Amino acid sequence: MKSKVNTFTWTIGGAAGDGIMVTGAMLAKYCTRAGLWTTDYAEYPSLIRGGHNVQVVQVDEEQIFEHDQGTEILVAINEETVRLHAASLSPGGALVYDSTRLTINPAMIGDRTDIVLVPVPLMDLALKNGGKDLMRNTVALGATLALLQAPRKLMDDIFQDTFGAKGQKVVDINVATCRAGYEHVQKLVKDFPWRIVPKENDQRMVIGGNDALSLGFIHGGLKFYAAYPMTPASSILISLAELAPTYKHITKHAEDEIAAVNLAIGASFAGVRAACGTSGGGFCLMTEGLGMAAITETPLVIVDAQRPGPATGLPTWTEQGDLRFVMHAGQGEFPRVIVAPADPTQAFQEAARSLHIAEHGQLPVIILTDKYLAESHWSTPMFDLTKLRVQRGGFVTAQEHGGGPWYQRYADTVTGITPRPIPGQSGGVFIANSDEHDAVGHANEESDNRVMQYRKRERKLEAVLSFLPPRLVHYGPDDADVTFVTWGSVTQSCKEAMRKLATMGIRANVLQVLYLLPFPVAEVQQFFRAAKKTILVENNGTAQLGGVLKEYADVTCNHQLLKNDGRPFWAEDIAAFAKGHM
Amino acid sequence: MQRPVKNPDFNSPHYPTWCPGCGDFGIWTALKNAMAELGWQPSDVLIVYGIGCSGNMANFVRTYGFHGLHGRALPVAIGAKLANKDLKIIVIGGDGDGYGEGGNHFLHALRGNVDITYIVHDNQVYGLTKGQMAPTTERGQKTSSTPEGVIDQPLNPVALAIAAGGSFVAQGFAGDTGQLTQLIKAAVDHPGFAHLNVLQPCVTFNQHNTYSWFYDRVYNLDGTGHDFSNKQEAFARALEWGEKIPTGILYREIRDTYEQDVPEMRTESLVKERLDNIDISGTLKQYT
Repeated sequence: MKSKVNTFTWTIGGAAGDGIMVTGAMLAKYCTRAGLWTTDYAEYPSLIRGGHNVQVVQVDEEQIFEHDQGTEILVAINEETVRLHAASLSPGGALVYDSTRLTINPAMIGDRTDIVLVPVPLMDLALKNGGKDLMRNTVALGATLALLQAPRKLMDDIFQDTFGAKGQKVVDINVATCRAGYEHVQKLVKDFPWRIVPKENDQRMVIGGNDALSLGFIHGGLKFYAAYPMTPASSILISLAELAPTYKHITKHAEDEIAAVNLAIGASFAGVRAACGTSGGGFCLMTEGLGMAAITETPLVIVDAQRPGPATGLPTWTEQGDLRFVMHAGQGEFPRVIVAPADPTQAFQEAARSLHIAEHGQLPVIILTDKYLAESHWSTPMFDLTKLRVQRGGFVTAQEHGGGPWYQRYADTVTGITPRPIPGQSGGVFIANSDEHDAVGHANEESDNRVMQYRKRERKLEAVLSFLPPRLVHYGPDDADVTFVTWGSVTQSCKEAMRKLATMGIRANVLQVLYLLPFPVAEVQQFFRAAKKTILVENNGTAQLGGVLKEYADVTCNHQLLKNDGRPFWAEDIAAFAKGHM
Repeated sequence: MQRPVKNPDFNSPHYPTWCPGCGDFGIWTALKNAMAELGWQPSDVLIVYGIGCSGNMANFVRTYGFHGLHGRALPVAIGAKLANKDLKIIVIGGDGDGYGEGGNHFLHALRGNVDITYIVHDNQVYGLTKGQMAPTTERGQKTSSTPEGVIDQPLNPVALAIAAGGSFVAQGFAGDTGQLTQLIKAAVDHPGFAHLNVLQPCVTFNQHNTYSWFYDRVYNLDGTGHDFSNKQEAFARALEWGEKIPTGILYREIRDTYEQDVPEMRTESLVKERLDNIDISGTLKQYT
């Protein structure tokens, strides 16, 4: 039996354009400031107005990684939300609905009598208290806090911090509309079983994958970011554009993804740390540029925030379908680094690190995320800003550069990495050439030269190992009965499943492959020798990591659980699968 | 004190592999002349090349160079310029490269007005892939990929450039290196995106647009009283093709460059920014 203090799920539903996402973000911030842990998840179709949007916020006293299927509070801005989600309410849960627009009849809620109906005239109260129609969400927030018997003052502080810059009037309207919802529900419901009791805790953030990644880029010295908007990568461009004046970098909304990758390569060649980002469809267009970064040995970071394909696929949903694609994208053979963070902290760290790896190793680095990580948010400890500070590298000193006429920028070296001058620097010149080339960059089709240059590029993969953190990440006890083997954001679902199994007395742990290339063969083999039972969990239809494990490390998991319907895993389903295979 | 540069200072050890008589030689000569007359050292300049016979010039010129992908020279050059606004950047491409494969980048570079110079070798045919139709090949002309004759209307690069918002649009001829040298210098001096379309014969694959064909038609706008600040007039001249083909500056307008309108670029070049003092703690607080 779960505690009813500080442990609950809250769901809000409405039409696109109703502004419900902001409400969930405010509630998550409230609970995080109250010393609790949150995670949220949003589903929405590829529409701006209309269509059905839903957001879920899960709250707990312990760190949580994924939300549950059931909900204790459902806020319905429209009738569709009631029809679609009333069944997910826990017994004793509350349905908060906009009584200005809706009347609930038994058929709409599946004749349920075990839930509490909480009619709140959301629209009326918003308008009466000086707000516009979208402020009904703030009324709903007040109603929620009243149900949970949570102190309103903490929310008022958040309004002050969030809207203070927009003027006291905006703050006051938020406070007033929130209070209206709060006081209305306070009179209506007195003994709702779920409650918030604030706790003292370390300061934490509520942050999503894309924002964490953007901040990691800035911390890592990014000066140039180019992209063409594509869900779910677009908010990286938007965040970086907003922060450009503060941190003095440039964002370029390019005419297409081909331009984006070539812009980033040009900026990087000129000497700044540069990246571009997209989803799988845009990555298709970037692949020729990826190879060019490799053959010209120009540092480059590309973000692929995955969504289900092929083609336009399911634009606003999640999948891990691009692993094999990014591993092999581009004609010919060339080295690349692929990292797949699981949570905002890893997104931050690996984004910062990717710029270091790319610059020092002079090769492309791909950051593979997905919609679930990109657009969901988690309570997250403050990032450690003393780590991963910028250290430049891979550039030639004036003395090494020499007076010219040519600089041997592609001369063979022990590590394969040859220091480069930035163009414009006085001294010998060179050509960065997408043709195979000799030491100064002139096109060269000789057999020996080709083999030398190919090997020089490949050898850099060994050299970059020293820039990488452990490529496998373990969670949970060492001596587990069952191990989930996974990558990317599914790690979060597996960690949550591990927590659920622990309450059933089953010891589970999680193995996350953080770096997919260069693939950590020896580490994987060592882990598999010790593991009792392994379950591969992937958000795709063909077990792409499973294939990679077999190909590189010759290991196979005992069981596999796959899902590719555009939705993230439910931790309950993973736990049940594991239990069924014990 | 560096000694004055001359045309041969920009030579590489590789002599051009173009066909004898190729118009590329004229453009190569004019480019080196222009850089020498501008007093540039080889290490002062970045030339970004596309792919084709034109792009092969990467092997024949001594400056910093980037020999990119087919059609993609412009975004590389723009990225480099945004990173280092102090760098002198010239882009060399061809008609198939820039108007076919890279047409989208061309359109948007004209709008953006980043301060770089774009020189397009326009020989109305594909040379390096052996004689197929180019975007500028005349209708009806037989090529290896259109044996019954080209069906598409030819693209007019200079008219397109003016219509798309180009701030400097000029046309040169590879057979007149003197004029071409001056046009390259004028393009470089223009603050903003300068488009210079260079008409050139392909002696191997285009038996229609030959040297004599061009010599019979090209005329210099300089001295004709052409007002290149008048967009209507520029457009009328740009549309001329057939009996008379204009060379010279067709259109010029002084407006803000992209760099001037990006607040982050108003002070130092980004490449000179320090990276060891970045502190994002203020932004992190907003997430608490």
